[in-house]
Amino acid sequence: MKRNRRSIIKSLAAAGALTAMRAEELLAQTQTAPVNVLFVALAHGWGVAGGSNQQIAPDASQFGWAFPAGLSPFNRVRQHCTVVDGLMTMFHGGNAHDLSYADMLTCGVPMGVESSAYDSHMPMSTTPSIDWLLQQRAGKQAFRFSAGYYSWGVPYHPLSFSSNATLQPFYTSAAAAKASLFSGAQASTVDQRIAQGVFGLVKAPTFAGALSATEQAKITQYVAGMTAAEQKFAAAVTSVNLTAPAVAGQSSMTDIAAYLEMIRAGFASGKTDTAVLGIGDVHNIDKFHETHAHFNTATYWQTRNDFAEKIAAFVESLAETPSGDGSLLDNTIIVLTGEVGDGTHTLFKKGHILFGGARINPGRWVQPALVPSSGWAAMTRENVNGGMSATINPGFFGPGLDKVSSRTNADLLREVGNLAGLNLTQFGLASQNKGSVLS
Amino acid sequence: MLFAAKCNGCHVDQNNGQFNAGFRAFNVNGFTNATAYAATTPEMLAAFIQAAMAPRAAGGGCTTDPTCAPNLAAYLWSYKLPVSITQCGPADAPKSKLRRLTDKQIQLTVPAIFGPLPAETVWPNFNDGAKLIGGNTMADRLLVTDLGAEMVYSAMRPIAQAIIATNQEWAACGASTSVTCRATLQAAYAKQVWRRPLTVAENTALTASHSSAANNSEALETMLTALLTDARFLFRSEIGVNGRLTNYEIATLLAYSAWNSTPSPAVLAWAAQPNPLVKSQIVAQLETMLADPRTTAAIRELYKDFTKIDLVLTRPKSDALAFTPSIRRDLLTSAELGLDDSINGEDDFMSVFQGGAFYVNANTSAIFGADETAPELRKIYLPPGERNGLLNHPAFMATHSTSSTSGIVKRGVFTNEQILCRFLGTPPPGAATSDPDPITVDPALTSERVLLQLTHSAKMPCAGCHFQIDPAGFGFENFDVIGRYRTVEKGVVPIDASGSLDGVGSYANSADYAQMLIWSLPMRDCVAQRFLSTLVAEELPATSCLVTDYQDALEAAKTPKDLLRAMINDNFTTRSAM
Repeated sequence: MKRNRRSIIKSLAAAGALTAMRAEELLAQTQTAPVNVLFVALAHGWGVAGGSNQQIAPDASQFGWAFPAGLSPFNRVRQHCTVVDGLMTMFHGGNAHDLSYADMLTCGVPMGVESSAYDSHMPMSTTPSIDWLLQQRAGKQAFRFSAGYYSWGVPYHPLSFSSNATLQPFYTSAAAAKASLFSGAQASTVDQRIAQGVFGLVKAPTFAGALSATEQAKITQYVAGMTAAEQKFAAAVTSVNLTAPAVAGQSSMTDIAAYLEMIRAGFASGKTDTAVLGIGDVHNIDKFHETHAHFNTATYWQTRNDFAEKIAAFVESLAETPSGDGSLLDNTIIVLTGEVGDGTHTLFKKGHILFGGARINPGRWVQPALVPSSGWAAMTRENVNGGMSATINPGFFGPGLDKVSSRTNADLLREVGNLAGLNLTQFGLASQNKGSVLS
Repeated sequence: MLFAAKCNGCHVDQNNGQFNAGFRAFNVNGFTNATAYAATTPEMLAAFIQAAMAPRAAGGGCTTDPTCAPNLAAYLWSYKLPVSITQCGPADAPKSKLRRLTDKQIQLTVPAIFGPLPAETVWPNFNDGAKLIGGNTMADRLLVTDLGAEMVYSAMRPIAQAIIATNQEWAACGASTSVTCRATLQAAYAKQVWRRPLTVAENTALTASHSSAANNSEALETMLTALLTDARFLFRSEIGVNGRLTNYEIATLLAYSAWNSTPSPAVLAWAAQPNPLVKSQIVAQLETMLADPRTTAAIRELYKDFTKIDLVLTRPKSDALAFTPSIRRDLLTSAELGLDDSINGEDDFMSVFQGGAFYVNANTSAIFGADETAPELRKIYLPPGERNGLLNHPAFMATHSTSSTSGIVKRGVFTNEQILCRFLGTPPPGAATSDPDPITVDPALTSERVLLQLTHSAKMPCAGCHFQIDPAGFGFENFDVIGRYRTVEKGVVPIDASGSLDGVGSYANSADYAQMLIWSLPMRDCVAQRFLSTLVAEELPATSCLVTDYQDALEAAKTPKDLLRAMINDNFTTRSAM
């Protein structure tokens, strides 16, 4: 006898194999609906693991834990949350921030590379970012936003890259994003005719000399951009009501709420399945880096609290947005990360916070095993030539290094990608695939 | 080291195999480099040392000791190897590139072709962002992404409409029912927009783009939007054919270097000759172009990109400072006017950074410590010894500070990496997690300089970098977060802006420090390196053959315009494949 999914879940719940809440969540999860994924990169991380001085408060059971005071808004949505405490990312000496920006969502920055043509302090990835893979699978453009996610070297850090290491563009103001993504203007016949004439010409530029591969890539990207623009200007745009203001000139802090609202609307309307949000020094703190980088200060935790409040509200808004048999949250995975794990540059055991439906089996505090120093060499990553570094330099992070996780950032992103419909056996650099994190 | 006391101001040994400032001068193989050291005998080298080194040596050099230069020359000559320096060849040439126009270049180019547009015109904003270290116009950073493509089209269509509304030729054709005028305008303007004649196929395709328009106005709007949205407008080609730039590419490179704008019809006509342009023709054309007032603005952009003073408009500042948008705008304009004076005054290209004259108005008077009441910016002279040129200008100081403090470390890092081209490298082991030492003094009665030293810089491993960073920042301590001159901080704590920096020398205060930087060979070489990188749109390391050649050419150069003249060498038209 063929049983449907709902009856299987109900019978498991009746037999005590699933908690009532878990069964409810699984029932709400619509198998046919696309899985939306949002990645949030926060400057200086969420402070949930590594060298943080505010630790998760556990009780005896895996599910009995609470966020520390600095992340207290998350406690009210804890039932939708899985904490990963934490993951190995990079270990190379150098400015941990600069090395990590392009690695956060790619896990593809080779060992020993510290600069690129883009910036003298920031290496680029050799592999695509997870959001780009999801975008390609869905055939829908990802929403990519930056709320002042920058450091002293460049004004905005790119987080997303294609398979040929081309950085993916992102909006830097909510007003521009709203105008581009949610304007309701309907092209007139004249508009369409002009667009047709213009895009018909500009998609085939020619140059007198032979272009090298790098220069051809610029034109390829240009043509791809024009093709996307053509589709946009030729199509009728669905107007969506947005509740958060997105006004030119408003602060980046206000922009965060507007971005999150656009992401909710984008997921709800099916305009996109994937989003990336970078959040930087939107509190305009003097000596931001010094205040946040070397100590878990009160300022650090005050800002984390502000951001946690916004994310918690976003989770609640998804939970309140109907979708299929359940809510939008049921078919969404939110991954909170950062270029470093906390104020002390943690890269060996970087904490991640996930929100979502049953796919992530929420409510857990996942603590991958730590690797003893004898195993550190096996945790290294490839250099540009594919060779492996001999070992980790413990001196870079000072004495007491005992926090190298046995699972990596790549492991988590690979699993999240697969939960969202990809079929990855490997993600990022080959060395970074160690095993499962969530299962 | 011979004459160490006299020469160490510039030729200091870094104990790491390098001699700051002295590296080139001590490269004895460089003696055969005809441009700078045309020395074929020790006597010629002695004469060069006497002439070239003495003026730079504050309190040292060979100015007073007649045996100094000959002895030094003999010493160096003894190390001369029987090897001649390889001159830059085709393989060293800049790489073939497509260079997307900057926002500023688009804003200058379109009116140069079509005439003035309304002040309210909204120009494309590629949101490229400003790089703090290096140039903002590097070809590999300026791209057209998906969002950029959408933005370009959205911006260019209204601009096309504005051209049709304001340019008489286009307006007349737009109102006409004759299709002939479309072809006339296309023939006249398309080659200006794309900076070269269109091929037959390109002309046909352009005509086809607007052939289904309902009327002339719509056809012209389509044609103009297509021309201005096209990659052949947005990207300047420096690709070349068979390793050599075409005549039109040369004309375009000259125009954007000298004018930051498109080649005029006359320059395009000059490029139309069938034979490849030769160096003498290019030099002559550049001289003609340098007489155009647009050159001042183009060179000004080089200096602005080097100092990053545009960022004064957007740097976050504490609300308590009341550093309003209008003050920021006036400070930037003040700096621009000062730059223009120096550029037009044919000052030495390094002297552009110095001077006691500043443009001040009522809005900015308090920041300058002046008593100007006029709303318009007027040139005044401030007391010597307090504020010295662009490196002490509030636009520069406010750009390089934190939101509420002077930012010794920020200023020190910028000076090292951008002004002196000294890459600081990565933090040493342990630096990342190094907690500050507890404060044992009263912060309210202790200078930021001392606090930095006590809590951070003096301890290991931080000292490794801060030994180099801090002295480069101390020298700006006479200026606060928005560039106000000060002798005390926190109300009562005296400012100490003195110090000593390798390769630059000792300084007593901020004005002195600026002067020492300007006189230093490291900054002079770095200016050459940065400016050449901007002109070729490619980050060039100090060891690049192109940089060395350029620096040598600038040894004889004087004025800011010489920065442009120096780029035309025997390899100017050569391009190497990537």
